[in-house]
Amino acid sequence: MFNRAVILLLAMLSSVSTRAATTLEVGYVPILPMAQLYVIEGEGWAKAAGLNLRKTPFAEGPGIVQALTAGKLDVVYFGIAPAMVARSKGVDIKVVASNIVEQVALIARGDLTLYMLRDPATGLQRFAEKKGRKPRIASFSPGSVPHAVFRHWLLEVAKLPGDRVEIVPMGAGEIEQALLSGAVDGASILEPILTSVAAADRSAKVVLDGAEMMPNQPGAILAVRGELIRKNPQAVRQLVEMHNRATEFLILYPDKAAEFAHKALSPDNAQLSLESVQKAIVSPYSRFVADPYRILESTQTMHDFQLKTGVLTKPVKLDQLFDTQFFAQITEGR
Amino acid sequence: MERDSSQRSTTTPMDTAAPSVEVQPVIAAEASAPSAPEPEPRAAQSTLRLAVFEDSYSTLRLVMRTFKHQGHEVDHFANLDNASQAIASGRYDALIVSDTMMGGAEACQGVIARVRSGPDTATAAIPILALTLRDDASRRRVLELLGASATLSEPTDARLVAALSAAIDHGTTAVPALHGKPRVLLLEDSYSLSLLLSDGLVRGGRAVEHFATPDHIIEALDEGDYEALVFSQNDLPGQVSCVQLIEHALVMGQAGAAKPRIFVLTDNMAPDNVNALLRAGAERVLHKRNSAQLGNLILSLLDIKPSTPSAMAEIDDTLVAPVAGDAPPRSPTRSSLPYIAALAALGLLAGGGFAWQQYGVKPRVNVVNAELDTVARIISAGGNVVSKRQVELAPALTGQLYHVYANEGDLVRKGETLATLDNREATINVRRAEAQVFRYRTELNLANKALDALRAQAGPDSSPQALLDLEKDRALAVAKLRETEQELSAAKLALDRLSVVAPFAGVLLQSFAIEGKWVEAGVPVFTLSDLDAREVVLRIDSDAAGEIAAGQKVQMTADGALGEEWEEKVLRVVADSRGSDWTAMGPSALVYASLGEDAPLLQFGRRVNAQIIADTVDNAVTVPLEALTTRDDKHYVALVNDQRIAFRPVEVGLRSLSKAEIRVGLVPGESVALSAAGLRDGQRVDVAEVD
Repeated sequence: MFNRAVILLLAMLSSVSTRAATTLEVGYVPILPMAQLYVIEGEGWAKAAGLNLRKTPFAEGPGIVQALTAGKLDVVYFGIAPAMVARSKGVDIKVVASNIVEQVALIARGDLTLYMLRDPATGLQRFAEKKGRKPRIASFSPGSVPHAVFRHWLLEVAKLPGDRVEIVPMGAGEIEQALLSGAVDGASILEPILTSVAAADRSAKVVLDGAEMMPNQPGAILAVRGELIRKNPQAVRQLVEMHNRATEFLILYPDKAAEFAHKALSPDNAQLSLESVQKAIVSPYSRFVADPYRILESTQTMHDFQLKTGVLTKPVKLDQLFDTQFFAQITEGR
Repeated sequence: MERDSSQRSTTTPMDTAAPSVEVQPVIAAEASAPSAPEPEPRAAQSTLRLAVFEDSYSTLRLVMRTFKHQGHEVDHFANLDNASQAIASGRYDALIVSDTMMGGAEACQGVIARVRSGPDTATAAIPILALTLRDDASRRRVLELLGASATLSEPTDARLVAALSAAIDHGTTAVPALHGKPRVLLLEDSYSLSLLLSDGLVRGGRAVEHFATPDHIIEALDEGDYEALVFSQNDLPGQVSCVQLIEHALVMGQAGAAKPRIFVLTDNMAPDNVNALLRAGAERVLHKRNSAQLGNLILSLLDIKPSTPSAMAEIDDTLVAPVAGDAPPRSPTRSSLPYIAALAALGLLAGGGFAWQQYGVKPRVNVVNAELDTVARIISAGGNVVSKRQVELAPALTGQLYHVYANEGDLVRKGETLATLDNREATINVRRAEAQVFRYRTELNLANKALDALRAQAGPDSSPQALLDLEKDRALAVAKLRETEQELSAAKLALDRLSVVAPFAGVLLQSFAIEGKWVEAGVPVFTLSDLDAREVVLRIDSDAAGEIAAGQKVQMTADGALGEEWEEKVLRVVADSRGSDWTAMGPSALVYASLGEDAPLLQFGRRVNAQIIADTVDNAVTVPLEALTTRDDKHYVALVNDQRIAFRPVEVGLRSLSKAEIRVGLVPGESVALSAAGLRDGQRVDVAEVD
């Protein structure tokens, strides 16, 4: 038994050393929904597979789109919305896996919690009637997934006029402060803010989860340049396989995954505590899903909604945006 | 005397707008064009102490130079903790923050949020001018929402002065504005009622000092003069009573200063209580029920000139008319002793007293007219929000709790997962099954599209084999989809059995769930109370239970539901099974009342105050309760006719909290003294009409 393990190990080492490592330029937004990347890195899977992932963090999606346009990146971890924008600009990228679904939820605080807890749509209206003002809901800027998902629920699910609430665009840090200071009544936002606000304010409560606002809503995704698929499909297959493995790792070993994510997101332990990352990873609102098939329809829904509301100025051919073959190959027969 | 500043909140007309996030001064600041001749801004009119929280050299230099040139004292802070502590000291008239400092927008917002959420109301209301590099509306809106009194982008000397003026106009410290304003001292331990009262009084131009305990009131009385004292009666064991407090206030008034006017707010409008308060020196006793109007009511009373001293605070037992003789004699106080002595001297002057009464100084009497109105017999009661439906929730399987998502007291939604056993493998199985379902659903869609396209193009020369192949693909996709959907259902079922889920929206009344705890199948770990099945249980004396029946109206208010009053109905009345052993208050009954759509959203256990309307009489001749006095178990009113008092017996019917029905003895329009205390039959008086 021991001899067999030694032989296997030697064989693996020999295989890696004799094969030249493939270097991939990876752009990513350093947020929790990119957790698969931190697990792949933390577990050292890429190196073992002969892939050298050279990571570059970007503050937000548009920066990644620019870098993609300039041909600087091979692999990107970012949002589905900038992926659509990149595709509409003619950048040849393919979404090969999803990271997370239904990541955006609506958290209410103060009186709005009680109003929305039983029936969110009528609760919003009753709040406005009783308080004599519209509820203030914070979210990211128009065009972002959290903004789009909340507007989708408001207009398409609750069938309420868009002016029934005041949507206040803010950054992530600002949203947390605004919620905790009571400056807003709620926020359409994602983890870890949902968990940290609920822990700090007992009146804060998720009153609409992602599935209610937009079923299977897409969020963060893994995309690769079309050229990489053509030139090195084996590398892409390995990447998708590691990504899928990392997704299951997040479910099976959340504490270990949280350590990797915490190290990546808060290297000096200043921005986030390990405990808050652990809680956010096991939160019911963190649904890590690698399956790209799952977000095909919902991406179309979001695309159509963004087009209808004028956020997207021209349609994107979504059948050209996804490439599901790699995921189908690695999950065949499971 | 040293006093804990955190116990005190001072409010002036300006600060009511200051701390609110509703303030929208941004435009005012931004629109202040420096070039046009304008009235001198407030910021330029007096020396202010300004705290500046900024570390960017260029902005700091501009701010320091501008305001020092204006003659203000400017202190600079570069550290969030130091700035917060300095503001908390209360030494500053305004705070200037900037998002150009290190830490940027978040640090700027952090200091605003910290100051605004500080424990001391006065310092939390400090005007804040926020400087921002970004000239966009959403950025300014964020700062405004967080509590900035005004914002300014692209600061220059003149724009800074104008913006500071705008900030101060929209939110100012209490200290400078206190001078010259009549001061009102307020004792009220309910946060919501104190806010309402302060708001009303401040709008009427009063500076309000608010305390929650009588001890602090006594300390405040030692230090300052007040136009009026507003005491909320809440006589708790071990605390100074309201009557004692009134007596103390009248005794301890500053030498040479006018006696403060005293108004008492109470839930107990029983004649004995009201008379005791009036005798102690209260000018008016008001019911707390109409909390939203109390501030305005006190203001209107303040605007009415107080009665002359002889008719007001100096009323002594020896001058009380016999009709009020049912009240127990009051022990002499420091203020009353000189008058007793004076009266003794008067008594020695035989006949002189009659002459003084007939031709001397006439007491001034507040007079009201008997009027037709509806009188309702009201029974006051307190109670709590309870639930009609409670369920206990248990796991379906035995195992170790892996995650607990909800805690005792939490609100939960219908369908929310409260806790799970170790569900990791089950979750993976569901994810894998879902992936297969979505995959075959996609393949089926593609097969359908391909088939439709081929059929649309099909001509006489089309190959039937191509069609057959596509139909075969489609059939295969259908079969695979069905198979995977069944696998998914089974996987979901297995996952669901590992979770404890809320069957309806409610509150977790109990939780025994701890992560890592071994739990048995069917053994409850949570108790959930239904949010939709709320009612109010009120506790009343069993003597009053006979007057209450299902269907009667109930007016309700709740602590913290700012002035909100709504109507419910009595559902049922039951004897309190805990009986008299439970409380020293004697036997009681429980009245269950509805909690319908008009009610605010109250959580279980929330305290509710109710007025059960047990009986009503329409078109009754009514007078205020204070106008009634009793002697030998008979009721009288002091009729005022041609400036003379005539006591007249009346038959009293129903009593409401403020009015009494006069069945016999009065007709509408007749004038009666609002208080008969100190009046005698035949006495001449000056008349002051009261609305």
